Amino acid sequence: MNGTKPKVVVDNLSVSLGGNHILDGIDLSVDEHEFICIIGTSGGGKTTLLRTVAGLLEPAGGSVQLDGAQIHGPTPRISMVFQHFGLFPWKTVRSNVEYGLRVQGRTGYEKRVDELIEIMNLGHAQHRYPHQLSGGMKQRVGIARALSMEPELLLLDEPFSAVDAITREVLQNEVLQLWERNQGMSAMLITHDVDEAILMADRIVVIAGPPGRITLEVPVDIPRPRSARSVRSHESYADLREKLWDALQAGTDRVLESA
Amino acid sequence: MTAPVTEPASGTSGRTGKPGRRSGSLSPAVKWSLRLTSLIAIAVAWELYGSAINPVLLSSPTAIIGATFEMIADGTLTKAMGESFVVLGVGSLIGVIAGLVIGLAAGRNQVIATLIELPLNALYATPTVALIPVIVVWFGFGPTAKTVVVILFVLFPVLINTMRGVQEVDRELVEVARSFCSGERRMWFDLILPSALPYVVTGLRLAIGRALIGVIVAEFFTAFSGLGYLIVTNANSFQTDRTFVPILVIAALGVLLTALLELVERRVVRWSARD
Repeated sequence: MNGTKPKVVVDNLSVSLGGNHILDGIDLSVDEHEFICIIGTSGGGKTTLLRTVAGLLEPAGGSVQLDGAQIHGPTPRISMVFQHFGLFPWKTVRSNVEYGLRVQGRTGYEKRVDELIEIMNLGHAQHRYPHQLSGGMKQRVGIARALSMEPELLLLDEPFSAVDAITREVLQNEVLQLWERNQGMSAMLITHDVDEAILMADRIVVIAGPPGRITLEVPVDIPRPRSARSVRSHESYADLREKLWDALQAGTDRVLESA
Repeated sequence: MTAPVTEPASGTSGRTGKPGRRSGSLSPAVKWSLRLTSLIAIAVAWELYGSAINPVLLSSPTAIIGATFEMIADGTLTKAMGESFVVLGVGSLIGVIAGLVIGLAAGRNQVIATLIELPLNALYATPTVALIPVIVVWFGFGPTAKTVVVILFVLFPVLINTMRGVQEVDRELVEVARSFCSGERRMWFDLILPSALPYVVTGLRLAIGRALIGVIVAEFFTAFSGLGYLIVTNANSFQTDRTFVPILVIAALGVLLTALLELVERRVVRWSARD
């Protein structure tokens, strides 16, 4: 935003997995402190895009650039929140939060970890093991762990799909607040929930596939701070929702045709 | 609890913050009295029936206890225990270490796994007892042959379970580790070893039973020493009470080692929802 140069550029990206064409010619840029939501039906390649941006997958063609430098493999400047939480069951909440910092060999992180545990309301649970937590608590740990790295880009892979509806709304607001407070952090969130995308995003990208292509890119001009209610009562909400639905529907038709 | 609980029996302990006691319904005192009751019931039934028939057929607990003191006094039992336990200890140690090392390597490296696949399956499917005559040809009738038999009995359950444990490591956690730029060595300690641990413990539990079988069978066929030899010689001279003494020693050892392992398991795998 504000005409600054983009934080992340995805340039003509193609990805193949096991001989299957998953993504094809994806062009996308994310500005500094921009919140992008990627939405699409299952099997459309959304997660593959996120994993490639995270450096977990090698592109078959094209590139992903962070501040103009091509990404080869994972970097601590980008961190990820996982759909199924990705917590180590044998580590306590606290040592799960510390995990990234310890892998990076950083020291003196005690205070930062205390802070994150406080922010994510994990204080009372910090010595518990993940199996003793609810889904919402687990994802709080996952988010705290990702934030501990002070990433420039936060990737969220359907982070709220495994929690109940009420917890989901709470977590959505928490993530939005965290992002709003952190001016140096861009975010890329994957979802198949249209309302979640409208609530969270500055810009929504629809991917349909396979092979995954961008079929729609729309800005969300609803002022922040947003809430589920303020978004739904905004004048552009209905139009936007219909547009997204149509794009998703078209994607489903394509999948059915090719099947 | 908003998410479905993926593992059973965590409900009672989930909110307390401390891992709860095993299977909550029976208190330890009740459990121990039940265990003792079953032991006493068996002993009493055995005593009544055993002393009513020819002592060569069944003997009886009191006769066996008498024979135990005799055999301790004349040194036969302690000597045989010494011989068997050394073989058991050395053989198990070598078997477990070899199983762990090969299992870890094969679990992480597909080339090694494929290399050992056929010989492993062939050896595992072959009853190890069938190899004993060959082992005798190679190593003679001494303790070395017995040790080799124990190694073979112990190796496979440890190896196969360890390998499986390493292979079954959660893919998403590997992604997590990679996304935080973890190196291979850190990945072993953060991820691979802890997630393989429950499998290794299962392998060890199987190995305990098989090690005991291994040493007794080996002593039947090879060395003229140890508890197995004591069983055979006493049975051949129809001293049934003296035959049962080494058998009960082995049984007690099995129970003891399994209990010990469970204790270790509970300390090491504290994070699991199972306890």
